[in-house]
Amino acid sequence: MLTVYLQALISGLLIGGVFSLIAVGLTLTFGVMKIKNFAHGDFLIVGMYFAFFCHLLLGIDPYLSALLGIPLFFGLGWIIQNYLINPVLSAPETIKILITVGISLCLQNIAVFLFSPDFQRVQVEYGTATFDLFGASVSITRLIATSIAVFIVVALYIFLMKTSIGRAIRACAEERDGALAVGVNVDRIYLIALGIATSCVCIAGALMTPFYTISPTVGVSFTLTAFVVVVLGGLGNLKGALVGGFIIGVVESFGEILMPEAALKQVATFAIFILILLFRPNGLFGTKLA
Amino acid sequence: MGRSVGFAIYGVIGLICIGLPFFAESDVVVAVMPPGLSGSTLLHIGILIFLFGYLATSWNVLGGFCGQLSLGHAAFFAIGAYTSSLLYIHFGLTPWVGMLAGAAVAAVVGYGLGYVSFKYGLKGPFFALVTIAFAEILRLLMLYWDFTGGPLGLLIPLTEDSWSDMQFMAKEPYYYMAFGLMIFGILATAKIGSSRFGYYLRAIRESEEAAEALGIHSMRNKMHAAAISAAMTALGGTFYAQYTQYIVPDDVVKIALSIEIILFAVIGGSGLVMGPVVGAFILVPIGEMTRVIFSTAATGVSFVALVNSDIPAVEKFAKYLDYLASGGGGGLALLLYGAILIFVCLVMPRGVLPALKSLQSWGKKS
Repeated sequence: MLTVYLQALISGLLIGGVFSLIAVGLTLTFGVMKIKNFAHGDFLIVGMYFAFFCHLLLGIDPYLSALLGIPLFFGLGWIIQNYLINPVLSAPETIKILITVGISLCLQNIAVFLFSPDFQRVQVEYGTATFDLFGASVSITRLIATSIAVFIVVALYIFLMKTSIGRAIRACAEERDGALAVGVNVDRIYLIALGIATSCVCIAGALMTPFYTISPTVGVSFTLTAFVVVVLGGLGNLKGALVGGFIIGVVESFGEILMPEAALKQVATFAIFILILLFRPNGLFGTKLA
Repeated sequence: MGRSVGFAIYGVIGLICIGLPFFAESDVVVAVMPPGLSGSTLLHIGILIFLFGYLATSWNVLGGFCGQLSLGHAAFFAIGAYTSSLLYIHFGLTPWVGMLAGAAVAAVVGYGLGYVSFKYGLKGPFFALVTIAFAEILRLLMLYWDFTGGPLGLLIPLTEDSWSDMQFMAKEPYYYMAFGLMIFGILATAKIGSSRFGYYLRAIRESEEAAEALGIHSMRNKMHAAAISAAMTALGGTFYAQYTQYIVPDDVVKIALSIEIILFAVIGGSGLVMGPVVGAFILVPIGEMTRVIFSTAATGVSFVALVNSDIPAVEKFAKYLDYLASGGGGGLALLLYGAILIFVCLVMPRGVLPALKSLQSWGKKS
């Protein structure tokens, strides 16, 4: 029985890092631009299909394509921020939400149109490789995914703390007008911020392809998971997103063994989500970016 | 002047709607219709326009007038559909009464959801997130529970044409029922909009603090709006269940449905009585036409099979273009909706109807 719990803990931690990486993008978008990006999970699909086609057409390994895709993903975020989100920044809250809903609909259904709603898989020979840890099996692809994810989150944190662009991003998050007054090009910082956010989530998508099926419809559920993580960690809080990702990963994975039905595992997640929104809307770690 | 022109346009469109079933099969209509469409498809599109116009109108009470963005209205739709269907299947209760029961259940749920959300001060995106999470929980539970039929859903036992069972072979009765439902929605929201309650809701939307300062009990009014909006949406759910005679959780509580309901309202003009209806009249035909013109059945090429086939790359690519030309994997209608939503957000954030009105007054000035 102990092995079952250990297995659940390990599986949870192994997916948790990926959740963190997905959530970090969302929390950055919120922290800096005050945009609640309902299209966030749909960018995951972009990364997934990118890795899928790199592997299918060019034989490129998903991990390499995650790296190769970064400029592309960054550019996508940049363009969307520039042409779609920056113009509505001063619009009412509802419009800011709905434009991301529109982007979500477009991304998801472009994928449905081009690649059909059917599930796909990237077949790599190491896809099912595992090793044994105190009687529990550890999937190597998940371990790699989570390690890279955590590495990227930490790198992003250092980038925000140590570089001048990072400082400018934090300034915009903290006090937009103040940043503007001291000469920060706020609009440009926003482009960079969404570029980073989409890169994070697309990389997460590519990292997941060796062990996760690809479909245009998975985006929505990851948007929700990302919101759960982000709200739990504190909207706009980077460290909170990192920790929150692991918490939700472990909660879901324990839910899977404790709940009688797999369907109910997500019910637990959403119920916790509603409770957090009601009782701790600032999350566990407050809402400061870094 | 502007007002009477507006009423005249609505009147003419209304008369065309009432008369449509009488000439849907006539040679003239068949001649001008795109190929692949029949009179019965035309009525089906009409029913969808009215139903979605009505649902968007119902959403408008909470989302438009009161400014509380609900992204989970499919939950109330499903409550309506399942309540009346369960009562009909197990107790033989006529859907006409079941409809009211569904509305009552939805009202209680909407009231409760409003109570917990507003009591803890959830606003804007946070309220939206709670409504999504709530709808998702309901969907998962309906997939799990036995009494809702799980993933197989509920099949409404077939009877002969009967008003008391709300079942018909032909489309015409449903067509007029949906039309009636939409008219009811318009009249109800018009009544609400011009009442004291309606003014309270708009005051809350513009500034809750200011409304409170004027002595408006914002929480109570928001809860009432949630309950009314939920109950109205549930009526549409019952109608849908009777029309399709088959409901599954993935159809009636999906996020996409919640989003579609909002789309019509926002694109038409949320907060206006006729906005959601205008949105449905513009968008539903576009969406349905796209679905009819690009039906994947045309080539029957499966993307997965194509990817995994062993034919040469050039041939594969040619086949892929064929696949795209026949509508690819679908999704074009929603893609168009998404694009239109983005366009409306950028260019006319208040919706199409206010834009048309300002165009009209601009025309008069010059």
